[in-house]
Amino acid sequence: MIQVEELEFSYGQSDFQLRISNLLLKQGSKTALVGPSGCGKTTLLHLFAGIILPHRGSIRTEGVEIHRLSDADRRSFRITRMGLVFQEFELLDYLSVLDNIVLPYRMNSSLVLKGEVWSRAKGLAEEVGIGDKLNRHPRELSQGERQRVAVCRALLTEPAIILADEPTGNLDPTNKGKVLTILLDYAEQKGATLVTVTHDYDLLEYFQEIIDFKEFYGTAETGVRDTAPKEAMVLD
Amino acid sequence: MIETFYLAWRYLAFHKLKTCILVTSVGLIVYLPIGLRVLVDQSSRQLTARAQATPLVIGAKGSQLELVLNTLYFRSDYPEVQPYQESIRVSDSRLAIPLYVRFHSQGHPIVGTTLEYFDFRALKVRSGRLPAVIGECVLGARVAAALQAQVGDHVISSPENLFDLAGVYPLKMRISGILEFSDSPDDDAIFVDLKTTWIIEGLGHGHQDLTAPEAASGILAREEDRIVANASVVQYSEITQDNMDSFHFHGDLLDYPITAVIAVPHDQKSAAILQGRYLSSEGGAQIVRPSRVMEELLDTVLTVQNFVMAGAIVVGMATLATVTLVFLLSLRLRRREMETLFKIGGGRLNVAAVMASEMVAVLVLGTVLAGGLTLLTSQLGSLVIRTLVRM
Amino acid sequence: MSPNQMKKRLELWAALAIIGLLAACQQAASPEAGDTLRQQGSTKLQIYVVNYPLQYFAQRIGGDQVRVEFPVPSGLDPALFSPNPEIVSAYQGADLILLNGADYAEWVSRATLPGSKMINTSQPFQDEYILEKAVTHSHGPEGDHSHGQIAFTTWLDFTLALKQARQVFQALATARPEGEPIWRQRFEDLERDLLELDATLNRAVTDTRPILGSHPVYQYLARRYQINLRSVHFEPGEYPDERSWRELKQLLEQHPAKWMLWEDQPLEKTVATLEQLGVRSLVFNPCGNTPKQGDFLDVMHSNVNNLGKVFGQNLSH
Repeated sequence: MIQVEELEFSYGQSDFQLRISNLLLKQGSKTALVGPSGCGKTTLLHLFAGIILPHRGSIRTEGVEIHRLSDADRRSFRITRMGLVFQEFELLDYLSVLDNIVLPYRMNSSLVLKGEVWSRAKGLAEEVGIGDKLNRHPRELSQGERQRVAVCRALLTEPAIILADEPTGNLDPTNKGKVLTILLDYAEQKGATLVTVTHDYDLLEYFQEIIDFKEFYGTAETGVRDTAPKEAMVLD
Repeated sequence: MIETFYLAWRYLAFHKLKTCILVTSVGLIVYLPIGLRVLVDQSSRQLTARAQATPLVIGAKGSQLELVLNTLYFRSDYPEVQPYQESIRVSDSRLAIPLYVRFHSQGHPIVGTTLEYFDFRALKVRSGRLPAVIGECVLGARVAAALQAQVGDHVISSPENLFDLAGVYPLKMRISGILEFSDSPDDDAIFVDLKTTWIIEGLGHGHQDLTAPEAASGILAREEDRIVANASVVQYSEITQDNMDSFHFHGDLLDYPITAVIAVPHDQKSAAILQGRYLSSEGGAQIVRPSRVMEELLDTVLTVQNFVMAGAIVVGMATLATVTLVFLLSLRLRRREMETLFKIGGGRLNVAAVMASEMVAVLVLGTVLAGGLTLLTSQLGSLVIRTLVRM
Repeated sequence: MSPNQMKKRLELWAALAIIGLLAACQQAASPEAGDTLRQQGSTKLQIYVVNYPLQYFAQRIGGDQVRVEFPVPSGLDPALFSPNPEIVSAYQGADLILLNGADYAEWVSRATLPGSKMINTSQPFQDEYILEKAVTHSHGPEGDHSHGQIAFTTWLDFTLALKQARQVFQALATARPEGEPIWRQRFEDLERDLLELDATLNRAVTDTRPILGSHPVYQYLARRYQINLRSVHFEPGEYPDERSWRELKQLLEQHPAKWMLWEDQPLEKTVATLEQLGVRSLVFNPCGNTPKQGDFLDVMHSNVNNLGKVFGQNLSH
């Protein structure tokens, strides 16, 4: 579950402002964030993940006020409880598919890389259809295959929250469907909260909730329209 | 930590060319001054040890360095010769070992000397025995290995030049023994009796018995006790048990050439007397203390070493700056990677370690490479030095 | 025996045992010179020689403290012997190598021997060498060169033999100074024997009647004892050919000798033919190699005795 209250954020150098008075994403919900480019969708994901911190307000993720944690704790929380998927896949060229998938277990001492992790990684790869490509490097894979590797990396830690930033943005229709299905199935099976940023309105039907960002952002000149609690945002 | 190094290793292995260049550069930066130092230290130790083990050398007047290098290291450029008489002159009450180092066989120096040389240098026979008669030779350990020769095989002396038809000619010599490895220039030499080198030079020879019927075709004239033969008389190019008795020398052996005499005085007093004799004489011979000659040579080497070291340091610093620049550029290129690692929750130290471990791994591998090259230098250095000195 | 007596006897035996033990320890602790030499003798001085006279001198002087090797097979002339490399290698291992000098044993000039261990026993009288007629030949561009022959049976002049023996003694004493006293004694014994031989022969040769030598090996004998001797080239074991007899007859015209000295017993046929020419035969063995019977002195006494017959003297020893 993700709960936001009286959130305010802006980037120091620019006019951009983000203000959310109240937002609740229930545990197990599947939410799509839509809106024009530059409206702050990715920024919100980063705030949820604790990658950036709000100037005001609070963000409670899985009951933890993430903005109050230390940098180290935020990283540990993120790597153990969240799975991040990026538009550009963000795989490491010099690692094999399998090494890319288990990367989180090498990057934080909160996770221990042991036998059962390897088995799960291989199992995940099989499930998403790349089980026979474990020794290849990303440049030997298609776009769709690369994103599936990134998805496996995100899901290996069995996160409670999946934050996907335009996960299908660079994929053809077939692969879009495959990747989205993987994410939605995981969220369904594990009861994980899925928050997806997307520009693709064809995919909205797969999500329970849709948040239109136009009400949350503005500039110093225009201001932010949202000034009152949004009942529409309190979702059952 | 292991995981961090694993990632670093994967990165380096993926960028092989860049890694090789960086490791080689670092390796060379580290190796050059150390290797140079090792080589110079080894060479000074070797040259000094060999020189100190050779108290005095007597040779014809001329370049002292050339005399010492030819006598101790069997260098190709041989000094002016002096008569064998000089060795007899010195030998009163002190050990005098004549040497004639002029000829070669397949690039290996042939050292004509006496049996005392082997005791003097503490050379032991590994197989076979020392030469017993003219025409036999004993090989240094490295010569035997290079020629894959065994006792009973033969080596042939090389002509000095292709056009010297009437002078030095190839003599086939039987290998009577092979010496134990001594880690000295003696390993690279072929040792023969002094008289054998005179035969190679053509001062002594063996030929058909001119009174025998087989030689009749070579006889031009025969008087009472005088036989004149032509050049068709067969001269032997190999000394065997059958023809050895026919070998003889013409003229006085005391006038025959040698390149040096190693003098081993019994004590300081006789050494001083001997040196005094040569310093005050007007004759064509000089007496040299090899340790002093080598000291002067090493002083020169040290000066050169300092210059080379200074140059190496400058080059090293420039290379280090370049390597550092490469690392910094690499970090910039990997910024996106660092952001990804941060975003997925990589620990601050872990992320820093992944970036730094590339540099650490390169430095470690470079140092290992430098260590290996230094080890190689220490093993082969002595051989390199001896080869350079002999050239 | 009473207990007291028994006790006293035991005490006596104990005292004697202790004294004996102490004496043995004393002996072991301070050996005399002879013991040292005997200890050294367990590492005897190894001497190699090139002929029998030198072997005799070395053994006579060195005694038990030396081991003298003379590897020339019996029956061969050591002057012409050419050892194989293995024998030369054995020479290399010697503590001393005694050479005759005067170009005796030409093989030495072709061998590799340690100069520091080689002793030329005739070096003190090199200026007294007798040079034989040189043989000259030439081949190739070098022109003439001679092979001059030096007479090498130096020991047949007993004064020169003595000088050679002295060289042997001095070589031994230099190599093992602790043996010098004993060796000096033995050398002086040998010296007396050689001087006696010299004196006897000097007395025996009373005139310059012509004498023949079967082979040119008596040069030093002839010079020292003023024997009017000319030589031919006869071998004891071979009957001379026609040419050789002709040359002998020509020689006898100028040198009417009645006796011929032989190195060894000649053939009866040769003796008979010689007697027809008025020449009788006697043996004067140079003894270059080991004699079949007796030793060097025995052979020389026999030689001197035989030579005495030429001059009508009975010089039996």
